Formats: sequence, structure tokens, C-alpha cells
Amino acid sequence: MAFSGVLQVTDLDDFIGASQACIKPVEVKKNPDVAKESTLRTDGLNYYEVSLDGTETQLEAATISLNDCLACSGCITSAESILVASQSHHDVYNALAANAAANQERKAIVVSLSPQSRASFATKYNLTPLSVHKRLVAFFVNYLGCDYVVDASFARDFALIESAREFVRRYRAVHEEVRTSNAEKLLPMLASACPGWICYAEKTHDYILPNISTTKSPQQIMGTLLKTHFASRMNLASPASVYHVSVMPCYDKKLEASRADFYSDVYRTRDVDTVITTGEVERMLKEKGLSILSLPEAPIPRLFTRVISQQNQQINGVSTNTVVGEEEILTGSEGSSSGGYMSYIFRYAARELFNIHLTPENVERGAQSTEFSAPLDDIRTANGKEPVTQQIPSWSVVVKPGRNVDFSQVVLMIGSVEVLNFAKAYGFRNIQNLVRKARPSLSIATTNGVAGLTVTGGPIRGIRSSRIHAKDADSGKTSNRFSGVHHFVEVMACPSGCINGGGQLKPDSFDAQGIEIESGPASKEYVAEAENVYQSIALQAMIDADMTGHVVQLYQLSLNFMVNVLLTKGMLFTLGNGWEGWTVRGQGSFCTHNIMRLKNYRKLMG
Amino acid sequence: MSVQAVLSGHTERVWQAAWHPTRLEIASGGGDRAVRVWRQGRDGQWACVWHEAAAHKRTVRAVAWGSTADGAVLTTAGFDGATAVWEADGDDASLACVATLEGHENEVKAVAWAAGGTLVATCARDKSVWVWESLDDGDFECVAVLHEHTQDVKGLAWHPARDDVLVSASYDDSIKVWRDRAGDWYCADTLANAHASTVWAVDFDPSGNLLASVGDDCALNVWRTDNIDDAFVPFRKVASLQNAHSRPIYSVAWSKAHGLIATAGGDNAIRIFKFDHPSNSVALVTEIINAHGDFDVNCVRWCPLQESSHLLLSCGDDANIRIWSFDSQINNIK
Repeated sequence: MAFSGVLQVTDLDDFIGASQACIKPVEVKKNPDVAKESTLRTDGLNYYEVSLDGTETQLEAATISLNDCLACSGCITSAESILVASQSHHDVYNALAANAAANQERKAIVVSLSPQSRASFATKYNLTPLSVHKRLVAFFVNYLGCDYVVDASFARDFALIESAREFVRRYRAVHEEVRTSNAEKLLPMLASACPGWICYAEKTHDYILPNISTTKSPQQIMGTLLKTHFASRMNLASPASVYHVSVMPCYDKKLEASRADFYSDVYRTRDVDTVITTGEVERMLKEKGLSILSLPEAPIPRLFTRVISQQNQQINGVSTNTVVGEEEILTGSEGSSSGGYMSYIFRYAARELFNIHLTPENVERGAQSTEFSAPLDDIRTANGKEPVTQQIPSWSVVVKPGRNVDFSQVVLMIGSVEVLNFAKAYGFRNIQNLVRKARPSLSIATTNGVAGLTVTGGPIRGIRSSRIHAKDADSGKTSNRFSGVHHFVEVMACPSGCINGGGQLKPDSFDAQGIEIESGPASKEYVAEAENVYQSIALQAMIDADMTGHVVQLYQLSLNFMVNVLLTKGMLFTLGNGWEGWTVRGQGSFCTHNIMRLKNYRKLMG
Repeated sequence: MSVQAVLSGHTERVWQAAWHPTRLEIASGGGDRAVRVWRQGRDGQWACVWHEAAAHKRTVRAVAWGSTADGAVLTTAGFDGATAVWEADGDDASLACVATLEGHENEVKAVAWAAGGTLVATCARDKSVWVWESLDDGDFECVAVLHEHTQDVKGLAWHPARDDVLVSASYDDSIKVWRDRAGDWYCADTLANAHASTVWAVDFDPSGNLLASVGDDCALNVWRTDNIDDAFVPFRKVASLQNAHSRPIYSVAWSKAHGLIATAGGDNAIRIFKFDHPSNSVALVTEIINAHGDFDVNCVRWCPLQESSHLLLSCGDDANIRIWSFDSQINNIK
């Protein structure tokens, strides 16, 4: 079970491979009267059944929907044609054409652009990500006639915050015996933003699903933002009045967008209407006889976009200033090009759980308490006199490189106790090891002749007799050896993460005559360059855990701040208490498993 | 050539058997889902000293010993998709399953340990080749999942000395050479259409520069690389013996001790060949017609012990394992 060769960009063979066969049965309607003797004829497009008397009947083509694919453990994404047929750039053209033909029911077409796609264009065409963003605004808005281009990393901040809060809840539930539902009493928490990983886990390792974060991916959060707040602000008739196109580095984001979880029966709309890959955008440009290089740079709409003007970059990521002509800076998130979940959640948890303030660089390179001190406000105790630093034992952040480039760990030690252990696990082999550690083990305490006792057969695992020591004896207590290994894992299906997604641009290849040929796989070096380009944009987390003493307050403040900014800029309607419902309860509208019901749309709007 | 022993105990076809790396002992697995261990006693008689009747949920397709830091470890691979790791359990001959390697979607077709004793590879009908590493804590970790074959992968062979070169044989008629570059395994070489049909098995010569392959096309092919250290130097075919058998050839074993090649297959025969390097010729040394009576011979393996390297095991659809001595032939080539 699998991702396809489609997803493969580098020459590394570490993608989830295609499975044997599609298990989705195709219904064949048999007519006993006709099915006697006949021959098949095709004109290249259609197939005809020719009966003995010469009459021809056109045969129906079997159709398989994307949802069929989601229900199958067969080919998954290997049938690229299915994906392209269900969600393709032609859908965007169709939506534009429908708009052009419509009198009143015009939809607002909004394109959300992923930072990985931006970096991919920038790498291939030697542009800055900002320039790419502006040129794609020119293409989608000025040339094609879409209404807005927004920045997917804007929604990612919400995903990061929601994930971090969920993590702290789980950690407390596990470590502090907090009363909560059993579902939350599980660590490690595994990242949920990679649809390939989710699909794989659901189909082959369902025991691991409770460990997966309930937070929606940035793509789906952007969908929620657009279909609710934006739609309302623009006085659109319903969420369905927004047509949301997402530009992603990944084919499997199409599967994610197609999930029933993200479809509203009431409004008959999805969070994301169409997902197109970076490569498909390049194809669109080619179809129109354009190149990213030939496009002008258009001003960036300040809707849901993490762009700041140079003079205001200290305002933590959201501009209050739209002076035209001023130099703009794109801002990104800290950490990996796969969303930076590990980095942000690690810092948030260190701050929230242990009152330790870390910078993204600390998480990247390691740090020790002697070299780093918390802001003055926070190192005082309740009486406001005695510095807390004397009471907090020394701590350190230790970065442990993994056995391969796609696996690494970062741990927070307080004294000699490992209080946080986070990991990044990319690619199929590392996912294998993750699920292997998580597999519930069978009667680990018994050693002798276990297999001989079984009736059903099959190897049953005992203890490796040559290595029984204290550690193994301990493991007899817990049925899940997984617990105690990691607290959070940033899991991504692609080696090198999202920057190396299957939908990214490949370098052009030319034959000896200088004629362009089918692009081969991108080299590791090319992927590394794209990673560098991605990381080149200003790393300013919009929500910085170190800005204030109480992260929860900060979160609220930041949201309010952002909302106010958007309000002053006329971009958002008044939310009132709506934010509370989204964030504090934790199972708000950014959660995959309890996603915002659009039937609550009016209530939220009110 | 003479029969040394006939090991009876399996109740269905024996798919594979393997020599213990350091003593006269054999492990076997078959269609009866059982794993058996056979040992030569002081009286010279071979006997089954341990068995596990329901070792796997389905057919045991492949068995291999690994020579690890902790001693010999047995791995068995089954049609149930699992690969089980067995270790000595106490002082007697009994083994205990200490780990299972799971991940293949369906039937595992082969399992092989690298010479270094830490890496073990498996392949399956799911077209993939997996490499696992035995860790110090006793567990195993997946190092690579290799997906480039387009069909069922039938056989595996590690380079006799290098832990970074692995070869696989497939139903897609190709042989692939896999290499490890700084922890990343990749396909360094594809011998496309290595055979006119399924490639059933591959094995290296003692030097590791030559590779023998056998297939459904009844051919025995020999491949050579001029520099195994250079991943860019490909293997090329230097010899091809068509009709090495009259029916598909299922197994090939190239003795690391004396360099003779043994093959066996659907024509019920075992044949012994000698490959001559400068002339690149393959010559038949001897053959055993109807080695297992009227049944297919599924697997042949040379004993790795220097002092017993004249011994060859074979196993067949008759549910038996036979041990053959090629004393005179070996003396002749010396």
C-alpha cells in the first residue's frame, strides 16, 4: 500500500510503494440477452460492442472516484489519471468559465499558495520566493481572473498553535494524571498534516490512529478560514460561494481535500474545491504560452498572507501598514520545510510545561541553561523578588542526529531527566520503524516455547534471550513499548519532507540536440537547494512563545491582534466569541476528527 | 557422489533449507508451516533436534542463518508476510522466536543475511526488497524499502564480503543491484531481461566479482563486474548456458569454499557446474537425475564449513531434505 512513483522526485527509493491491485470492484452490468457472441471495436476514444447482427453498442467506461480510492488499499495514488481527472487545473478553468457565464451566482475564486510551491518555482527559475509570489498573483489574479491569492503559511500558524495546545493537553493527561478522555491520554502525538502518511496509517496500522493529532492541516484550515470568515466578510451567500484552489507540493493533498471529513452536506461545499500541484501550475503557464519569468510582479493582496513591510517587521508578522511601494518581506515559519511542527511544538511545550524559553535556533542546534536565560519577567517567583533561575535545575536541549538524514531527535533534559523527546521521521523506512515500535506487542513477559503453545500458528515474539537485562524487564510492564520513546513525531511520507513532494517542479532536461525531454528525477542536491530557498525567507513565527509569560494569553492575544489587524484592514468581520469556540475547547474547527460543522455556520457568524 | 542422509519429517514440500554457519546443522521450512532443525549426532546420523509445527501462519518459504555477534540466528520467512527471527533458547537445540519483521504486504519469498551479521534483507510478492538492521538492543530497524522491481521478487544474494551490495532476482525478468550510499540504499544497476523469463535465484562467486543467475528459461547465466568497489561499473553477462536444465531452474548455489556451482529445478535434477574465468565457459561436472525421485528440487545449498564443503543439501517437493557428498568431484578440481 502506497504512494506512487508519481510522488517520487529524488532518486532515493523511500516512498511508499504502489500496492498490488485496486480492490475496488468495478460493477459490470451484464445483459444476458446481449452477452452471447460479440466482438469489441474501438475508435481510440470509445469502446463498442459489436454483436453478431452488426449492431454496435457503446460501452460504458468504468469510473472510479477519488473516494473509491480513499476506501481502497490498492493503488492509492498510483493512478495519477484518476487524481488528475477528479481534481485538476481544468477545474480551475471550469470555475473561471462558470464565473464568466454567471449573472449573479458568481463565486469568489481564491488561490492559496503553499510556501513549498513558491520555493520550488524560485529554485528552478532562480527567483526569490517573494518574486514568485508576486508573479503568481499576476498570473492567477490579473491574467486568469481569480479574485485573490492567499498564503498557505498564514493558515499554518493556526495549525501550529492548535497542534501545540493539543500536545500540551496530551502530555499533561499522561504525566499529571489529569482527568480526561482516554483518547487524549496517549503519547506520542504524531503529526497529521501529511495526507500520504494519514492514508497509510488508516489503511494498514489502525492501532496507531489514536496517536495522530486531531489538528487539521494548514490546507484545510485555510479552507475553513476562507469558507467562513472570508465568505461572511465578503457578504457572500454561503460558504459554497467561495471557490478555493490550493497550490500544493503534493499529489496526496488532493486526496485530503476529497475526504468526506471536509465536506459539508448542508452547504454542499468542501474546504478546498481543487488542489493543483506546483507542477500543474507550471503546466498551466505553458498552456497559456507563459513562463514564470515572463510574468510581471503584481502587488500581493494582504488577505491571509504573511507578508510584512520592512519597517514593520518587528510587529510579529502581521502588517498594520500597507504603504504601496515599500519593500515587502515574506515571512515563514520556523523549523522544517514540512511545516515546522516539531520546532514550534517543542518550544511551546518547553515554555508551557517547564517554563523554559527557547528560540528556534535552540531547537535546531541545541542549547544549555547556562547559555540562555529567560526574560526578566519570567524568572521571578510569585513574590516578585527571588529569581526562579536558582530553583530551576539546569536544562539542556540535545539534538541527536539519526541513523539517516530523514530521522532526527531533539530532547529536552532537565537535570538528567529526559522530559521531552521529539523526532522527525520522514520517508517510508522511518515510518516503518515508527509503526513497528508502536505495534502492540504480544505477551512479552513469556519467553519459553511461546510459539509451541499457539493453535493459530504464526511466529509469536518472545524476548531475545541473549539480551535480557533490566531494560527488558521494565518493558514487561507496558504493553506498548512505544510509550516512553517519543512524545511527538513530525511524520512525513516523503524523504526530505514536503519540499520534496511529488508535485514539485523537476529540473528541465535536454537531450544532445538541446530539445527538452521528460525530466528525470531531481537529485538530492536539487532538493537541498530548494530547501535552502525555502529557508531563505524570514523565519518569523507569527506566534512566538517567548513574547509573553502566558502562552495561552498570547495565543488569544495574537488571535485577537490578528483579527483586529484584519478588521482594521477591512479583511475580516467581527468574530465576537467565535474564536473561543475554535481554540479553547481544543476540539474546535481546526480539528480533523471534529471538524467544524458548517451547519453551525450561522451561529458562528452571529 | 553419494547420498549422506535423507532427512524426513516435513509433511509437505520443503521449500528451502540452510546450513548453520559454524556447525553441521540444517534448518528447513516448508508448506506444512513448520520449521525444523536437523543435526548430525556423534554416531554420524542426522536427526531432527527441534521443530516448531506452526512456525508461520502459512507456508514457510525461506530460511537463512545469520552469523551475528551473538552467534547464529535463524530467520524464517513465510507466505504470511512475516519474517521471524529465532535464537537459541537454553542449552538444548530449541529455538525461540525473538522478533518478527513485518511490513511486507504479502508472501515473503526470500530472506538473506549479510556477511557482517547485522543486516538482513527480505523480498516479497509485493515487489519490494527490505533491508533491516539488527540493533544492539535486540530489536530490528528498517533501513530501506526498495520498490523498483515491477513484479514479485523471488531471490536475494548479498555480496560475500561487502555489506553494502545486495542483489535481487524478480519475476520481472530482471536482476537489480542495490547499494548503500551513506545510509541510503538505491538501485545502482538493473540487469534488464537478465533471463527470458522469471529470474528465480542469484548467488555470488567466492570473490564477489561474479554473479550466477538461474531462471524459468532453463538458463544459467554468469555476470561479471570489473570493479565491485565502483558503483558505476555495471555487471555484464559473460556466460550463458541455455538449457542448463530441461525445466525451470529454481535454485543456484556457488560454493564459497571450492567454487563449484550447483543448480536444481523442475526437471528433478541437480547439476554441478564449473565456471572457468579466463575462457568464461561453463562446464557440467556431474549431475544427479531424479534427486528427489519424481519431484521438483526447490533448493540446493553448499555447506559453508571448509572441512565439509563437499556437502550439498537439496530439498524437494517430496518433503525430504537430502545431503549429498561430492568428495571425488572436489578432489578432482583440486
